[in-house]
Amino acid sequence: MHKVSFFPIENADSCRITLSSEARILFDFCHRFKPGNGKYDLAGNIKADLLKRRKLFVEVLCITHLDDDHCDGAEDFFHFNHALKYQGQGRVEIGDLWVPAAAILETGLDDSARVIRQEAIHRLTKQKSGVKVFSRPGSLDDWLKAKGVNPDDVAHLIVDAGTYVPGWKKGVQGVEFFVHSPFAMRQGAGTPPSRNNNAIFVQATFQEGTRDTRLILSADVDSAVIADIVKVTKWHSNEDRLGWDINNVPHHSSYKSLNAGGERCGAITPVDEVDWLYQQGGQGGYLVSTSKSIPSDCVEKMPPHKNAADYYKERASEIGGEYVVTADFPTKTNPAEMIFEITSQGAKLIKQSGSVGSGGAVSTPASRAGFWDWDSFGLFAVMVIGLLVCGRPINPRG
Amino acid sequence: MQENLRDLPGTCVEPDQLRLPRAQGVVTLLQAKGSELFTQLLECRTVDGTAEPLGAPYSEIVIFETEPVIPQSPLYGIKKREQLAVIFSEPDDQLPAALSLRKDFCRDAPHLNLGRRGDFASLCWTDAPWHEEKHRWSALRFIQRLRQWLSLTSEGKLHRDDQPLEPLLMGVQGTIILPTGAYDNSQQTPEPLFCYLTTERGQRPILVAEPVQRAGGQPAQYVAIRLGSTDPVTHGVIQWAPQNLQELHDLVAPHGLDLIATLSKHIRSWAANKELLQREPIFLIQAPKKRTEDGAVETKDPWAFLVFGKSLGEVGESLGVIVRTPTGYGQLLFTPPDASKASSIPLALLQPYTHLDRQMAQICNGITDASSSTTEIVAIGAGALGSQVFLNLARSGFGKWVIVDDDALLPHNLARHALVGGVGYAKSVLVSMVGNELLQTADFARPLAANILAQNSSPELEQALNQSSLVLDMSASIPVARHLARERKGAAARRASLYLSPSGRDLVLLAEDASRKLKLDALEMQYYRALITREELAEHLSQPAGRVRYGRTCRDLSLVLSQEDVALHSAIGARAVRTVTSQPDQAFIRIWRASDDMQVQAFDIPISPTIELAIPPAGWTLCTDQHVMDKVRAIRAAKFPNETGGVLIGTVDSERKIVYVVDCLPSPKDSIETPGSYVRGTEGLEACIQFVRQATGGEVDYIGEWHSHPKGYSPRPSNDDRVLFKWIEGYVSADEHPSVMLIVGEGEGWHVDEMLPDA
Repeated sequence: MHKVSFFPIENADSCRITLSSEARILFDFCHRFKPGNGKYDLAGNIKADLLKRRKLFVEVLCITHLDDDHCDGAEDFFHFNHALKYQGQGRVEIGDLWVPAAAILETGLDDSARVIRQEAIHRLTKQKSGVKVFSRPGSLDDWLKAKGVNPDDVAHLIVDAGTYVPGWKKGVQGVEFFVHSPFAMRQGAGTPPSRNNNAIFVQATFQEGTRDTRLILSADVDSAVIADIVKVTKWHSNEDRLGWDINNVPHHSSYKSLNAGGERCGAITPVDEVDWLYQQGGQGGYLVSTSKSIPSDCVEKMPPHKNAADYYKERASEIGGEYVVTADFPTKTNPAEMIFEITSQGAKLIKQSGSVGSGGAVSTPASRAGFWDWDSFGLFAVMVIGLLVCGRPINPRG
Repeated sequence: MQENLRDLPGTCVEPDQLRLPRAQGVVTLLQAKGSELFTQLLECRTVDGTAEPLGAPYSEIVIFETEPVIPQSPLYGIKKREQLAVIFSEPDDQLPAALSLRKDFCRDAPHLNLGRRGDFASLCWTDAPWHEEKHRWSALRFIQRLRQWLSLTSEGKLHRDDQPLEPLLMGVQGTIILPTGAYDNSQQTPEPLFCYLTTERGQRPILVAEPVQRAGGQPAQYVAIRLGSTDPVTHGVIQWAPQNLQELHDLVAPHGLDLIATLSKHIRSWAANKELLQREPIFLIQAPKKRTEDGAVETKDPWAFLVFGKSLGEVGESLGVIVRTPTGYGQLLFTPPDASKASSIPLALLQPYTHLDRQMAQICNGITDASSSTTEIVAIGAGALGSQVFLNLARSGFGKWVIVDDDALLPHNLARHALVGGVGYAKSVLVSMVGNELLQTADFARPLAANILAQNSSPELEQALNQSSLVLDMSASIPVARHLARERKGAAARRASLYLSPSGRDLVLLAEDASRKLKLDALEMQYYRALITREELAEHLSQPAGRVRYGRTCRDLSLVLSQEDVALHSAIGARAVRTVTSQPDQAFIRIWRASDDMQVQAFDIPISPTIELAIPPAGWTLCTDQHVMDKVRAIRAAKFPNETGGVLIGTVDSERKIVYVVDCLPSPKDSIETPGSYVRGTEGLEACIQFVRQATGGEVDYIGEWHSHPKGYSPRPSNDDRVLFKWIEGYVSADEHPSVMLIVGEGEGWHVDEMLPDA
């Protein structure tokens, strides 16, 4: 059975696809946990999961765009071919690295973003394998030529919007990926690049039995990009390419993804095309917000945005489905990995808390036990001090 | 609560007003951990008095909403949020009920308790009885079980694929045990079955249905009438328990069975049978079931309904098809059945059980091998071991048997016999009867009261042997085993022997391979060799102290033997029979030994290929095996350049003129070995032979001599050898045994009874 997981990493993205063949496909990665900072240990989860199959290797790592909340901590977690500094025991190797063309073309990067760009460039221009670059703007060709690489030599590593990612077939691996974005046109010369709007937007289709289950991963694109995607898809009569059973709504439930021109605190009127997209859900489907808890009003800094969340909830209820938020699942106080299993009857959200009962006890460190009664420590200390100072124990209680 | 939810009885109370511990447990759990369990407490109620559907003096109801794990397209319409009511009662003597509060909850779902029309759908959340479920009760486990019920049902997995589609009946009011094939529809007008109540009136009824009325005694109070079958349907036809004939008719009518018409037809045809019409009827109907719409019929649900307090005649009158006359009943031929009173004929649901048959016995024993029904076995000997091995296999529906035994059951036999009575009658007849009775068939086992060693063999026995695929000797008789090995050449079946050692502590299996390359007598000899050569088996055939003598000859010695040992070894023996039949290419010599604390150790004796030679001129057959030949060759080679030799041990079947050579003993220390001669000494030899006799129960003894010729020499006998042969003859002729000599040179020469002059 294939599985799709999301993680309670607040306003950040990471989605792990586990195929029944045991292959792991990771869309984005954001690890901000440090002991004691209360964040979710994403790297720990992913490594533990990989150790289950005794192989620190993901078949695919897709970084939809180079914003921090989609790649933080990657430089310390993955094995990168381009520099020894990012290699060594315990790092997770990457089979195929998927990035948008913008990630190659963007300069002046720091930290994870820089490392991922370097790795993509290394794989594209030196290895000429192990990478897929999404979209082929003219500027990419120019950039390649400047690097002394004939663009035709690496054409097989470039995936255009409106096509399937080569090498993946739902009848073979159980899943295939249709690329909706980025469009080459958004990276034309002279346009100031927007990472969000040049991010990777895909529809993954799983096959289980005779049933297809569709997952949309829409990164942080805004309503204009979605509108373009919808228009182009309709123009090609490919409406079913936008059908979904699980839809990871864009930009942590930001209102801008529904209507970039809307107001933070006003009523949301989504752009027509966007509204159309969210009506394409299969019966009982799920809208997933990879975000913090939804605020009760709009004054707080967003995303997530309450009115956007309300909009999604309405769409979910129309199809007898659910709008679920990673920060609140299964509970606000104790959020955990959100797992969808892909069955021959569609997706199902696993609502089983392992933390209740003895099953929870064995997976959680036990509470302190022992002879020493720490609550009485103060009392004991006073008595000892009394003994030292006065030569007899002081009974502070009497 | 939402509108489509049903109303429950009782009074709404605050959670802390509940007083039943189990109800409190559920509430406490949901209050503390509800969100983690995706389950929210909605309401609590208390119910005094026996308001439906509770039927207990005091009950508490906890109502909650839970979100089960369900796929996008759930089966049986399970919803993302389901509202359930769980009911705990005082006294705490019944399974807490779990009811769906949804009016449109799908009644087709498997594992719903069968209630009455209009009842809440009641989830069958456990198949264990309450007293078993109680001791592992926890509110968490209960809630998780209910969530699991919903989740698995939504994926059609609660009924595992390998699980038979059994109907689960809650609210059955009694039990009926039916003969095999009771629902068989082949007859146009099936004969009624006579049903006998085994319980007192007023108790929950248990009825036993039989095709023939019992002679004498109480007449059958009830009569079971077979009313045919519905069309095949997916899952159940009957989704709630009908309370009267009209409701039952309405349930099955859409599935191609006109119950009232069928019943009327039968009653009309029995109008003259006053006796039958006086009895209270039980209706049997069958509902073939498929797992999926286009699947094959997998199972046929049997249903049985008892009519409360009305005779069959009264039912007929209500339906207007017969009329009471001063002498009995008369048919009303031309009036159609009047269904208007059908709702006044009350019904009680009975849980039907069908008698054990071969198929069910095999299923219950986990036997899946198709050949287990067709393996024809002639069992010789129905004594303590034979009867118990047979009955073990009968209980697993294994084999098709002919039981050969000419003994009658005597009182002392019962101490260790499968039979519990019938002294004075033939064991074969009694044992076969028990097997057939057990599986409700006439042809599982057939008795043959014959002695296999009798001079005039019965043609019936001959035929049985010829048809069989296994001749299983459980007679504990060496002559029978030898007879089977060498005679009965018309029967190609492999032979096997199962017997107990005299102490009863060891069980022995000797089994030929199916092609009979290794015959039973040859296996017996190799078994003796193991007794001689393996230290741990030396005591195997030793006689225990104290025997009970009741008969004439030593064969009739009845040993002191514990039934515990016989039962243990009968179980092992039954398994051994199944092992043997499943491995046709293999011969077996296996010994199982039970210790004082009943631990069993198995010894597998390696088997060596048989060597059989016809020795001219006197027509003897020499039977030994590769192991013996390899051994003498190895000893010869080890002593080069000297000659060597020793004593041969074995046994003689003078009736069939067979010499069995079991082994050779080591050359005594005082033997004289030179490059040109060998004189066998005597040191320790007597003790050695004594041991051989003892270890083999006197079967194996001194039989002759062997010696080697030097390297490069043929086994041709020298003059000295001829003198030696005469010397042997001088000793063994008194036992009427032939003299036996083996010369091992570059080749071997066997000499039995007479030594041929040089060519």
